[in-house]
Amino acid sequence: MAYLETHGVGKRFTLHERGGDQALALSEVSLAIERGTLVAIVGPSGCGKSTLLQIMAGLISASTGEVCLNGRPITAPPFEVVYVFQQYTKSIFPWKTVWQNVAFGLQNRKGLDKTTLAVQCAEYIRLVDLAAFENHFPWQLSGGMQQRVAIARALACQPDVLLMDEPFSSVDAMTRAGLQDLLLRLWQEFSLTVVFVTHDVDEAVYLSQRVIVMSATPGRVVGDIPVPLAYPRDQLVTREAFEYIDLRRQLYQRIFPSERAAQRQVA
Amino acid sequence: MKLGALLQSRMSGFALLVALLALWELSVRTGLVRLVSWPAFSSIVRAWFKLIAQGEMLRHLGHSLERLALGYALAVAAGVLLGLLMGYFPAIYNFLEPVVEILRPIPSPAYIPMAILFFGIGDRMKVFMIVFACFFPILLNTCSGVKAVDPVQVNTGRTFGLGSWQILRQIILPAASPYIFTGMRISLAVSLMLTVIAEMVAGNNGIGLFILLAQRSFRVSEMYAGVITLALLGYVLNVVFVQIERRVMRWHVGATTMETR
Repeated sequence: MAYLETHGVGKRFTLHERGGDQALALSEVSLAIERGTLVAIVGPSGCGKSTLLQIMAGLISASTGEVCLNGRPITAPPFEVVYVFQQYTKSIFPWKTVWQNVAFGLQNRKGLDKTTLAVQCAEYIRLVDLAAFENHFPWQLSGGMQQRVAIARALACQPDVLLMDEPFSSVDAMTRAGLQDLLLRLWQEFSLTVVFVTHDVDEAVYLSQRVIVMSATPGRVVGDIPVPLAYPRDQLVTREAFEYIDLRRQLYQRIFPSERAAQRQVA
Repeated sequence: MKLGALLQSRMSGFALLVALLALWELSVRTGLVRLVSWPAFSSIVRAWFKLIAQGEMLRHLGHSLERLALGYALAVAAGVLLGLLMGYFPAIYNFLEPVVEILRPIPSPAYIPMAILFFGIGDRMKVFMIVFACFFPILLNTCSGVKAVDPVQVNTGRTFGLGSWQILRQIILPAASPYIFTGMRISLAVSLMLTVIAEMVAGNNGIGLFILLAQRSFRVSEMYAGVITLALLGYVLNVVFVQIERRVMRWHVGATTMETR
């Protein structure tokens, strides 16, 4: 039995408040994610990958099937799991300073005394290189720094699982590379289980040990591809490796088969 | 200073105020207006200082401020609490909304007679009137503020294991605070209005009563002195409010100016 499993998870959304039309967002998604692995889920927009992640986090309920963590079905957000949102500008509380934001999860998790809390907060803030910005408000920080606050806040709770929903999609390319390497470093340091949703195939291959490919309407798993690239990975060396380029090509073909076929016909 | 530069600066508004008062003074001094009901501004200022020195004005002001503060504080407490609950729990919203929508449009002075029947003509009636009138703007703004909170913020609380009450206090309340302050600002003006009206209708002290009695006994300068006291009071209350808001909402001022850049 794997650490995090989904069994035939499906999700219907009602399109109107009064009921009636329903849309099938996910259909029969069964996954088994081993403890300590870094798994990426890729797919075109609208394939339900974020919905799947939210069901895994216990934030929304599945219409069919169930999600199990360590053998127990998830009904509410489990304390071993923290979800990192794509919209960090909203997820980081604008009325709290960096320090207060990082302390937020901790304060609500355990009956920590103030000194332990302060020590732990400082440690995780240092880990994401924001020690000099402890007393800044989010609006005083760049996008990449704000997402680092969100990561520090999540890690401060010492979770087993990080569920990340396109966490780096709204920062610039250079900041993104930095955040990717930060994530890889933290994943190994804390033996985390990471499920990383992205629409960026390059990012999926660069980060993960395994890429799950989804297709749209309804969202289904259409591929599950291991990434046998060695860690530590490097933005230049890894991305130039033949295996990397080959995997990237395979994934693109799998995600956009029809479009590629159409392009070839035109050519 | 050239005229153009004067208009650009903040001084221009102050200059207009001084010019209007000078015009008022001159209209009487030159004999342009000869009315008992239109005394020179200088004689109003003299009357005002005399009333302050005698302690009469401050005594009335004290009574007015006391009921205003009590009524306003109760309205803020009730409005914020119920607004949070109505905004957050759809069941409570559905339950209370029709009653609120029926009561809210009634102009507050219309239920003074009813309030007198229930509470007499003393302080309890006046405080009730202030609470009732100030309650709705705070309630409705708080409620809209809660409904406008982004689901991402609520879900952030949930993923960190917060329960409904913790989310309400730690996330919804601060996230809705810009709306809450808007409601409180509207109600501050309403509270001053209701204080004066209630004192005029049924009072034995307070600035409202003072103005009314001065008018009835043809102490016209004193009547104006009372009105000027209210103008000053309203101005000071607003300045104090803005200072408090700025301090509490320091994060919001920065965040919003950032967005508009």
